[in-house]
Amino acid sequence: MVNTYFDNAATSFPKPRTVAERMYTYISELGGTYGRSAYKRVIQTSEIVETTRDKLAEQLGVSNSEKIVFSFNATCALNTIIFGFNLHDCHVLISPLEHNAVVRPLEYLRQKHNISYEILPHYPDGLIDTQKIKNFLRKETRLVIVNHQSNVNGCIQPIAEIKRQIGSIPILVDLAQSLGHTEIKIDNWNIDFAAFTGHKGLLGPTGIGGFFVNKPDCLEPLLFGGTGSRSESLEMPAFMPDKFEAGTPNIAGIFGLLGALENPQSNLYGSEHFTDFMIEIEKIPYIKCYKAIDPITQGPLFSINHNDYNCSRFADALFTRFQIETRSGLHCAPLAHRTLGTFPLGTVRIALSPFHTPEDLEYLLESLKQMKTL
Amino acid sequence: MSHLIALFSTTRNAMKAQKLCKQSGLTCRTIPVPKDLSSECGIALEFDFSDDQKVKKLFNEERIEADFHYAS
Repeated sequence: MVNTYFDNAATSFPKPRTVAERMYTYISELGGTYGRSAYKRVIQTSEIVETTRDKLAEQLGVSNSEKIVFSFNATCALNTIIFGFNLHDCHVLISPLEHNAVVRPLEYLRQKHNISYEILPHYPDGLIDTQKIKNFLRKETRLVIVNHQSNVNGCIQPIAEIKRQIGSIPILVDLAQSLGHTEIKIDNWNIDFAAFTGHKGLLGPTGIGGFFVNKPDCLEPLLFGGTGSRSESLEMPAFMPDKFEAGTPNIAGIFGLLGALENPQSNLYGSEHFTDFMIEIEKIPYIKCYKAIDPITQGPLFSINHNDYNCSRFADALFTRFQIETRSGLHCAPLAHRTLGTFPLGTVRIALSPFHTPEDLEYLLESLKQMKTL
Repeated sequence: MSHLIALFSTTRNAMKAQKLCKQSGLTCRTIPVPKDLSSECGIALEFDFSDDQKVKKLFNEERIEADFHYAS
């Protein structure tokens, strides 16, 4: 059967079987909370939570798991970092392909706390021009934020080189789209903050994500509440990871995420299939492709538009005629669309999964070839 | 004194210590943090007093922070 789901940048589907199995075990058989008590059920569940944290650290290239904090998704993680870093009366640099999960908090801070934000120098596909970064640094620049892999054209940014160029200025990397698809080396790249989600490239369930913070002392918590530690105090504990984990975590989600991390999926399609597939799409005369200029910086998603129809009409026709599921519009990234010249009309996004086969790509390609008129 | 009780600042540290003890063949029991020792609502580990030195040596080597108390 053909896999017609090409909306994996919104959320991945299908998931490895073990995701549902782990979640079922927690909900139907094990139960129990994280910490807070000492009976066997709690110990077993808490062990799973900490094993998941360790596995995530491994996946992120982090040697100290205590610097990994669970949150509900990448948006929650990004907000915790952006608001927790106490930005006011300062300058922030961002990539030209940022998502609203970054730009909306910054816009709020611009209006309420007198910050300014500016877009880093870049090429037409949004790839940051690292040679020009230093010209944009100011003495009041307090943070640089970079979307590692664009959720619109799949362009992957050179994080290690960007960090080298900005020196001691902290960097926040949004890993929402790249984690699970691209190798991440947080320690080696000297990253200060990174936000991620579990339900996209990692193939876990929704509602579970998190962040990495290298120096927790520089960040205030966003949420305050019970942690099962220092309960006599009315203040949040200062130690990790409790400082940022108020309230009962999404334990079922953590179980599911472990199910995904234990069963990493290799792509069923080869890189040569993907390259050929994109070349063939670009040959279709009525389709325009939005992708990375250099194939080396291309992640497994990109956008397309039809010359004669708008993106919503195009996406609707893809589904009604061929059952192909895509996302049309601005993808919550108006800034990225402005950079790519597709604002305000948007694009149709094609986002692959490791479960796609060369036959699935062929089906999509052949469908597109039959869409001269809708 | 018949027992050594180890208290931890976080659930993570308690789980880490418990796993380590299991791997090292040290018998321990997870108990709620005794109210006469702390107002915390977390997990503590209880050891037989005869393992006192072994436990402390192991935690020291593995850099696990714990507050030790004795109970009868």
